[in-house]
Amino acid sequence: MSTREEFLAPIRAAGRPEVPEPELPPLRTGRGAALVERFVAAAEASGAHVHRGAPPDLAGDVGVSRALYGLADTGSVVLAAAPDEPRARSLLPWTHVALLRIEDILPGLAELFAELGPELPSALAIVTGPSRSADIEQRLAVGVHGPGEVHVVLET
Amino acid sequence: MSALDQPPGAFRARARDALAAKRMQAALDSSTFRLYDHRLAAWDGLGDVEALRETARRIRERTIARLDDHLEAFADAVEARGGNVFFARTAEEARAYVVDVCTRAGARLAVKSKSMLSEEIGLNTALEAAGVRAVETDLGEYLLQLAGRRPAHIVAPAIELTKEDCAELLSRAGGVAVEPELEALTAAARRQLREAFQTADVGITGANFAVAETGSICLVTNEGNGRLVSSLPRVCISLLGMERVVPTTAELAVLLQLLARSGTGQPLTVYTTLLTGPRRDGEEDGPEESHVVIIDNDRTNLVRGRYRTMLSCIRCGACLNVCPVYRKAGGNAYSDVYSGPMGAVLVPLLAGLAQAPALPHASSLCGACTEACPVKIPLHELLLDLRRDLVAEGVASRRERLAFALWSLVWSRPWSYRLTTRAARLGQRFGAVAGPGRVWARAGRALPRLARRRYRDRRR
Repeated sequence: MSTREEFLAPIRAAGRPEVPEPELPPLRTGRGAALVERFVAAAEASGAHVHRGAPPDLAGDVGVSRALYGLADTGSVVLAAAPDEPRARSLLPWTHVALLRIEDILPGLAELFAELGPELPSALAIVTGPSRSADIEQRLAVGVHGPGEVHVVLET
Repeated sequence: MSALDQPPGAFRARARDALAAKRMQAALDSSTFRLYDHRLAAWDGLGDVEALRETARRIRERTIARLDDHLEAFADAVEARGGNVFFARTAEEARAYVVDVCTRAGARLAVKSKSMLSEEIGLNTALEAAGVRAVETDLGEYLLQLAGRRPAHIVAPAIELTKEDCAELLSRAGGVAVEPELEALTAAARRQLREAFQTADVGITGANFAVAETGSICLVTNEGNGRLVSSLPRVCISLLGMERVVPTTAELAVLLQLLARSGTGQPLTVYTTLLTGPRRDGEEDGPEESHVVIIDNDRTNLVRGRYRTMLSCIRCGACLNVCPVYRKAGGNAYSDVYSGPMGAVLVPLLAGLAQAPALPHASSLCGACTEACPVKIPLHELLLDLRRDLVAEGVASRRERLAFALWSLVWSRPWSYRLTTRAARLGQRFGAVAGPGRVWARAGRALPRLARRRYRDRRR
């Protein structure tokens, strides 16, 4: 017997109680201006700076990457690792700029995963605002590991 | 001895120490209440929270009911994408595999992102013994590692350190004095840990979830250390508790919404990362080699019977923040790994009741934990079941069993019951002399007085 079989044997032997199928919340189809406004409000609430059209004039330690999608519920940008999108670009610099086309804004997580399907990139990062920690005396600190400053540029 | 074992009397002794430490009490109060308030605020705007909890409960229970299939599918999916999977039945097997991967990679330094499972299997000691330095990169855990202490809260591990403590630890580690100011402390930690990230050969992560269909490991962090650990070193190893699998990303979406809201009150953590195999052709960063270690370590004790529901736990920490016992006793009283109500249920089930006999009693059975649980685990009922098991398995002390045997003998007969209630008025003046009454009175409190006439006499 392989290790895998030995590992799974006691679980198999325990039987399978019937559990009713969960009803997942339906996917939302909303697009358009209202979704964009919801995204902007949530992104700003998470501590990101949102720019419409023109990218901000930033100097110094800056990384720019393209977001695959944006999520209106949480103001997150979705970054996928790819040959022209290395992970370090959104991770090592103090300032990160994510370029996001407004037509790529989706309502939320469920809609994101439905769009992506079962084949995922080697690394998918859903990023919501700057790196933060409340580990020291429960007070909010930014830029502990990842970027301390996050900009989202909305492109029409 | 496993990391979960608790010497007899440990809970009582450690809880008493915690109660006497004023700073710790203040830290516990402010942090647990803050997380609690944030959690409540986070539910606003989510719609029907109860319906979502019920959905989450069913997702977890249905997945656990077919855990073998989902684990097989997950392992196949990881391997199809170029990753390696190892099934570890025991902590020892898991440690040996991780050490072996590190040795083959010629690793001297491993960076780690937060993993309770790593604490549970005692990984750091095994790595050090094999000549691999293991550095915790979660800010709280890094500080605790510098202090030589164990995490006290599964979500906010360093809940008990002050900024002066942190300044001293970081100054010593970096060799330069760091001001006890939040920004300076954070910057110093960032500098020190960046160096570790850039020289480490191996990154070790935990896993909040694993997705069977896609072969992905899902990590949630606020600091971004999970992304760094899984992106910069050449080799990435993820430790997965066998129960943390979900069938597809559709179920993951539901659970992620609940996890962050329940843990810290955020709609979503800052970084939610899905890792699917090693880096692909043409990519310039990401691990060249990726491993997932699926760990049982006595979780199969739970697959049968009424404790199975505990396998649904997603380790959000909500039950800790609402628990009146946790808020006073602190995390270190429970075990070196899991604490609060979820720890009080899980530790005796994993390590055996005889190894942690005090934990089922570390609850007032108020049910706040059950009410807070996003996947509706009846935690306080399980604690009561465990107390029953303590007696049934003969773990409970002879004195406790004798006391309850006598009590049940007396109160199960009407005449002796009546006799004791009549005698109670005479006996109440001695209530503060021994037993629970003495503990109550020692804190300067008066025991409530019994009514002059019994209710049963008044009805006549």
